[in-house]
Amino acid sequence: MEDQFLILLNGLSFAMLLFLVSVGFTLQFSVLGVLNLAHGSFYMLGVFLAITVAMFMGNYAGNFWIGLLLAPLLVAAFGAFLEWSLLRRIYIRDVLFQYLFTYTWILIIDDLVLMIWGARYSIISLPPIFSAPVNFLGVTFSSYRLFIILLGLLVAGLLWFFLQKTKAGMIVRAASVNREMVGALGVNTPLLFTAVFALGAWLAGVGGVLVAPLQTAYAGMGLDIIVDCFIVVVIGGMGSIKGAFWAALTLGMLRAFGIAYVPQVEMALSYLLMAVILIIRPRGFFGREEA
Amino acid sequence: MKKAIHSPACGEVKDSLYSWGFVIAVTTVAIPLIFSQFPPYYIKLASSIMIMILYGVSFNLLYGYTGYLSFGQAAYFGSGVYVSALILRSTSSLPLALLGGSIAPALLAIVFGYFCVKRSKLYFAMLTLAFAQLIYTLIFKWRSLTGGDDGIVVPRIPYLHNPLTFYFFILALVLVSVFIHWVIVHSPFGHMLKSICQNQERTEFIGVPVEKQVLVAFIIAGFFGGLAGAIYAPFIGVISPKLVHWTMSLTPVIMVVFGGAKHFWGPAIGAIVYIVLKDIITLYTDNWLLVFGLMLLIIVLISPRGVMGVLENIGTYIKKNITKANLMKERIN
Repeated sequence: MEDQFLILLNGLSFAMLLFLVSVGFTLQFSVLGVLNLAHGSFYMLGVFLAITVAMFMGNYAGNFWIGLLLAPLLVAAFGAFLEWSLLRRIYIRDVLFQYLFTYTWILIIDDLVLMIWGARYSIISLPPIFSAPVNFLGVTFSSYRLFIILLGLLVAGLLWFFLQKTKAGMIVRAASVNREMVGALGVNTPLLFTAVFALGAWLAGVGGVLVAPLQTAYAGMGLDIIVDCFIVVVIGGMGSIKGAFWAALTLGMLRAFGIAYVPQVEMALSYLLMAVILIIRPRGFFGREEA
Repeated sequence: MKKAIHSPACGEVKDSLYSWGFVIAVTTVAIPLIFSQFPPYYIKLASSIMIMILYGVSFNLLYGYTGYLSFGQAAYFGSGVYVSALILRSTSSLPLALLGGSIAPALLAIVFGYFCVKRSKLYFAMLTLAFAQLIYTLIFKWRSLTGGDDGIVVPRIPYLHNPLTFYFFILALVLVSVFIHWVIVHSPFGHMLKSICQNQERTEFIGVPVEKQVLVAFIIAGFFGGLAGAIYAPFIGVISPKLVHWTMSLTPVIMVVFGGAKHFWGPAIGAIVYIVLKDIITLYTDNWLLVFGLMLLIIVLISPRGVMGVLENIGTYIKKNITKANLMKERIN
């Protein structure tokens, strides 16, 4: 029983990481109407920027926190710049061109990361405060993973509050329903789009920084996470934030229990789930009827 | 109601078989004949161009003709490579390898395609990429069968030992396959695909089972993409998961964007440009992805119809100026 609880917690921490990244992806889509294929590359930028901050600060104990603060902001600024300089030129274009366009960013960002940080695999050390596991509800669990779970829940809560309870959030929700109408009502849509895109990139960056102490960074890790994001939006419903949350949770559990019980086929499980969803409920958990 | 997508991406697809086909056929035959005096390196370059032409043309059946963008063709090319290599290792029969290396990817395309066409174009691009990543991970991890990262050494085919002979074998195979594509796009089925590209809703309204048609196109593209992979395995000699990697899915995308999707020979032109450019770029830098990424970005931004589009634009520009000049003359007279 304790084992299952531990697996559950592991799955939860993985789910929260996945949620942080994929919610940015789905939020960008719901407002801008563009699927950012390079979202995974923003996540990867977050990882490598966190490593750079850690290296820059040397052995200073607070470097993880500074990385967590700084790296996502840099990623968000980079995202805002890309949206402002390039992406807004192709909103009127066909969806195929939009795809091609963000696809080229993967090549450029991935290769730039390879150029700047090299092909070596790097990892940063856990902040000292998390060095010891904690006793949580009767099980001994990594305090860092617990931190990820709490942070993920916090961000989910803040996002919910922002979207449901604030005026800016209401505009974002309105824009996801009808962009033209929101513009006609006097909202500065170009600014709104840049802001939402930056927010999405920021979320990817946060996910990246959080994963940096857990896993070695490599150029190409962006593609692995973007595939997970795809699976999340297919399962949860395209453009749905609630859907992203529950889908990430489902996937996280599936992965954690998969690794524990059927490690050989664990990788295929998420695809299997996606296939089943596509057959029995093609629009996903919370997707709208029209695509 | 689905949102109608009025896509400028789906204009008329041009295919002057005789003009461009003739030029390409002549140059592809002539180049290795001229270069047969030169190191076999150039003959091998020409061979890989031919294989990539088949890969690109099969991809364009989906992208240029049907308007469905696949980011995962490497799954079919790569599985063609691996099935062909494994058959060659156990039986050393090339026809069997080519057959298996194209039918297996087609079967794979049936399974994956069923899910990929289930929803909109938006889902199609995502799902093709996701499934390709699944195949890549599978081949990477299944060490006992595929050798994992180390790859497989493919046995040589005795009667195709000479690079020039091998080149002509590839040339024949590719020309026949490309001709089949030409027949397909001119058949009623091909016209149906073009109509799906131009207006999916209306095509649905006149009673065409769009999903099924796109799936058939996907299977055909998988079959010929697999065939390109199946011949690539003995050609390259040593295969690795690199051939299933997402950068391999990128190859036909680059070729079609360079050459232009709206022309039957666009991917062929693109294949030549891509292979030659890559050969030159990798002499100077390892960061060919970056270079191609920037080039793609600029092309998509400025001239989404690729080289063929630019050529056509120049053509219309010249024509316009000639008529203008004639008009001026008339006025002066």
